[in-house]
Amino acid sequence: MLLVRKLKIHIGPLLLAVILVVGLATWQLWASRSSGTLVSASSLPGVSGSSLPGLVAGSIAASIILFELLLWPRKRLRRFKLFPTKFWLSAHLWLGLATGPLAFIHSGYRFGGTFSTTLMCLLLFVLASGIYGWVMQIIIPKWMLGNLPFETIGSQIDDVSIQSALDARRMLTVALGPKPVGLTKLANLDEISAKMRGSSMVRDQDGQVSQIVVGAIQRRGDHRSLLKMESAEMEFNPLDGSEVWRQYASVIEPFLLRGIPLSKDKTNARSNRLSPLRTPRKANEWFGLLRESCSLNAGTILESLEQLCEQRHQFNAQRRAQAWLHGWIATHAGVSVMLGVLLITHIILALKYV
Amino acid sequence: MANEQELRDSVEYISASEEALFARGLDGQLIRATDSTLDDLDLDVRISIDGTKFAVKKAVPLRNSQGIIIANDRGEIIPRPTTIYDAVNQLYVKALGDVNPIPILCHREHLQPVGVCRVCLVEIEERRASGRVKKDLVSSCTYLVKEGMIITTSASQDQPKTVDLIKKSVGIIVELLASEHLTSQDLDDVRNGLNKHDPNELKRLVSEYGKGDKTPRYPPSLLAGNRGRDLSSEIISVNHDACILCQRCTRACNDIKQNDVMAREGKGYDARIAFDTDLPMLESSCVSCGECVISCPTDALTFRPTVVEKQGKKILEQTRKSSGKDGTVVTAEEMLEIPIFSGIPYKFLQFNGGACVRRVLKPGESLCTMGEYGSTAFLIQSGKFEIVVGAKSPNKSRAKVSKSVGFFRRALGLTSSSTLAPSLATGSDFGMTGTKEKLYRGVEDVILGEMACLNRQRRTATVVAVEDSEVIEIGTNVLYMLQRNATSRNVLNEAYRRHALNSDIERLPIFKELTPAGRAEAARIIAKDAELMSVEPGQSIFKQGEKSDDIYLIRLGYIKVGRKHGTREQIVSYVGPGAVDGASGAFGEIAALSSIYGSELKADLDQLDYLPGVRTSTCSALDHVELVRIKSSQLRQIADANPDFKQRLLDRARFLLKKDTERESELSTGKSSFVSQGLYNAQSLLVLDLESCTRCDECTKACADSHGGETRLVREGMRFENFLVATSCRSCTDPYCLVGCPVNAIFREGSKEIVIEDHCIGCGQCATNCPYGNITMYGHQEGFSGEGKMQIPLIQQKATTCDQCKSIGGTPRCVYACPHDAAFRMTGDELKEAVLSRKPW
Repeated sequence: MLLVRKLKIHIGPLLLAVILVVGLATWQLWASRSSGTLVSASSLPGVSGSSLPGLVAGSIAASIILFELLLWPRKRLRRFKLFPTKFWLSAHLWLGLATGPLAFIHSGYRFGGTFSTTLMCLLLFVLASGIYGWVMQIIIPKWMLGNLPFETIGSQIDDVSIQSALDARRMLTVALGPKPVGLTKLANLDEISAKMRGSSMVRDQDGQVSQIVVGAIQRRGDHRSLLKMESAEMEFNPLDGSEVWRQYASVIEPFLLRGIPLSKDKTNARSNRLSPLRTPRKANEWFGLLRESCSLNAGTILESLEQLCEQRHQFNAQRRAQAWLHGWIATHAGVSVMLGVLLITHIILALKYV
Repeated sequence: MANEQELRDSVEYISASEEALFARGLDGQLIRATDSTLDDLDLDVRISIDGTKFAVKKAVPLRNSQGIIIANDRGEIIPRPTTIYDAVNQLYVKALGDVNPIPILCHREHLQPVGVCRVCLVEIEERRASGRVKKDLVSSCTYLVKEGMIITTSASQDQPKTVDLIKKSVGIIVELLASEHLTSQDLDDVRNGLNKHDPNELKRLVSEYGKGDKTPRYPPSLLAGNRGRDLSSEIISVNHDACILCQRCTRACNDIKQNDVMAREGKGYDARIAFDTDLPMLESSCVSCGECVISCPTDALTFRPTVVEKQGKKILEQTRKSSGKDGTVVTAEEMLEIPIFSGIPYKFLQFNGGACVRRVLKPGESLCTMGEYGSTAFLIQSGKFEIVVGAKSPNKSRAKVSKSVGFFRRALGLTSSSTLAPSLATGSDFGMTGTKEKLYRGVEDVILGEMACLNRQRRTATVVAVEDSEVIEIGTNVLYMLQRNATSRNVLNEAYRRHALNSDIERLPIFKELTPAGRAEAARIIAKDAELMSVEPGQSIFKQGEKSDDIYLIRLGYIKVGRKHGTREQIVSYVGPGAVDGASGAFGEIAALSSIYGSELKADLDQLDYLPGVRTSTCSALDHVELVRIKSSQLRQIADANPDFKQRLLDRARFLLKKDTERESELSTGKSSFVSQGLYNAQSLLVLDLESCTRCDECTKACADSHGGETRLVREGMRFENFLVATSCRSCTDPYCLVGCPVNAIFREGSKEIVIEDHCIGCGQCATNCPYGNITMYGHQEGFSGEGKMQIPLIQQKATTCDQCKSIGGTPRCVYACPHDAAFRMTGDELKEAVLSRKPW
């Protein structure tokens, strides 16, 4: 049902694109046969951009390019009902693809001078980046669906990670007692934790009340927790307690909070590269060793912690996947704008000097 | 009179070592009061009240604050012992306007009794375990009735001395309270005659029971007048001097609203109410729902005057917007003059000022339309109404308004809620063609339209005035308040039962092959003894292996059918109204029909090893379920008069037994999650196809852009195969969020979308009620707190939920803005089909 629906969206623009390309190519062929002349030895039989079919092809291609650029403002004007965005995108894809052949028809199947060659190269680059993005947007969501069951909203990864660390601390405190004195210091999450709990009196940095909130304050982070607190009700060996806390403070929590940073964040990159949890396989091995050093009862706690680390691994993978998924847009959009500027210049020059 | 042995049997003797904290002395014996049993619900206790011999049940069903009977997980009613106050209520209060003669201060019917004020004194005469007969003054709200007890209240005609003693004793109590907690201004008010609607119940009691000249006889303590005030909250002001520590506010906060903010702090004269760990109210976790204020019998907790004014204005504006100009607002004072409203606290009506509208209708004008949702009921003041069931009535007025908006405005999404929202009950949509049957309602029926409010379903009939008529339109929150009082609750329940049974039974699929006369006769037989049952989520209706032969018709809600395989119970199916196997609209038929026609069905039963009249599965409520319970004998009576119907029942029984033989357990993780996530209940899920979704967040951004920067969806939620059910309102068929809003700010009117209006007070009740986290609290600046340079921005929390863009033209922007065609709005069943098409469960 959904597949049929999707086909319906694409069929119109696809047909239009095919009709435009085939129609203009045929017209051009027919026009060249009617004239019976070759424009130049290097070109195919037909006419140049200034001929009627060429001019029409060029005008249509230019209109399409300008229409393609309108997708950006359309996305910005989300609140208005300017026809569903899926139709815009479908038209953007198929008509955009048609611009390549139309440009070639317009140019008489040759690159021409420096300016028109640059313009054509830019167009080809825009098309290539668009096709690349299209392919990415087909492949990566499927991959994410199959491989990242813990996936969350990209912008919320840090918040969910902090929430996981807070959950883990609570679980360890309930199950094993408070963190023994003298172990590695835990990160100070009090402020973040207080922010998540919310308060009726919001204070600024100086401790002065900056806002008074009336009504129920929704606590964030209550809905998503991987931890099963039943495990906290079991009895644990005190020795396990100190060992698990030690490993948690020095290895697990830093990894949960920071994961493996993207290249921009150099601060913690080194420490995480050295983390025994840096890959899922290494994490599995490390937890295996930790399990051996603890008694059987600690297994449930360690299992929960391992699951949190697995979640963090998936978050890291999600970040990378999303970089692939959306990273190309900046290039595609930037080059498209350049193309638009050069296109307008081309039109002005053509109108002025031809 | 009970003999000594009976009295001894009624208590449980314990040894000294077992002495419990709450053990109390009875003639030197240590005893522990035992819990009531289910048998006590049927056990008569003979007592005498003011000379009238009277029998009451030893226990009554435990009810919640709305009067709904509470049952345990096994579906059994929880009994609570009958108190003297209950018994006196049963004797004296039978109709609207009747008054219980026992004065009360700390007690209210919808609250658990605590007996702290001792104002509800009555004299009892009972025979003790020792055999001696003893007279005593006891608090009636906590003292339990016992066999042979003689009770004298202040209304007794035969015992003037006792009445005098009771009145004097009550007078002393209230004067002691008055000297400590009333101001000289209050006492002046009492002396000069009280305002009829003065909300201070202590002043009223002093006026009624205090000494003749109303001057205080007892000196106040040194602390009186110095206990201080808490004016930190912008909504509620706390005057500790006026607080009599009756605990009505703490019970309201903790038991009714379950906010667990208020408690009693300190001891003796220092005792006071406190918020959280004795924090100023503003700094506490108080959500400002106002339940404590409307529960307070004195001036200890009051709404700040500015808040009442502001809230009143907002509600009035909303009422005007939705009702048009054909109604006039009924003031709190006017409302209290109407008998059914007499039990509603003045402060509640004051806080909801503008919510009740008097509506005058001319013949032919309609009050409400069948098939539309509604959040208001109509108290009939005069006139006569025709109830039209089965008429299709398109809302012409709404269609006209929609057209007038214009193509460009609609295309650009510039329509506002006021232009496209359906009218509340304007009567312009009256369309009577196709009418099948007509009923009439008048003043004696008290109320109309209450079903849609209480069960949150579509209206089941179109109501049209047939003569000049007048109604008072009230919101669901006012109906909830009416339910707290037994008398008004009985009036509502009776009306509800009558309307529900009338509207449903004849239309049941099980009777569809009967002739119209046969259907009417069947409805008459069933309505006579049928029981309308309300089952809360999680409660079981019957259990596998139980012997019972009732048949159930689902009116509302969904039930889960489970069957035990070994120790594990597996979900066989979930069913809703008219969706039961073979669409008979009934369930529990195998046990019922095998009980009636055991001999005819013997071969089929033997094949399955089933016993006649024994349940073959466990049925429990998934949400708020309403059932009509029909005795198998009634069904037999109908079948005996109609051989074709009997044959049909037998065929159906054989069909069901055959189906049972074939039925394999259909449990799977998918179905279990589908049921546990309440997706069967969803009318409009926001579903994202994760195979196509590029996580571009255009849906969220479009939602935020369209609603002032506040997104009403979160792209997170449960996954089914490749579909993600996003956190966004699902327009449940039975929306829990609509229950308990103190200001009726959340409702649905006309169509299925849930709407939250601007007069929301941000108490978060709806957000707490929504099991799927689909309601979000957002802060909106509403002025400043303090003055001059000390001004601090005041942020009023408000609940926000997805109205599927009803307020901006009706097309959900999340779906509209998705560039990848990955976002859909669909029902739970459509999602199930989409998932099944990918992978069978």
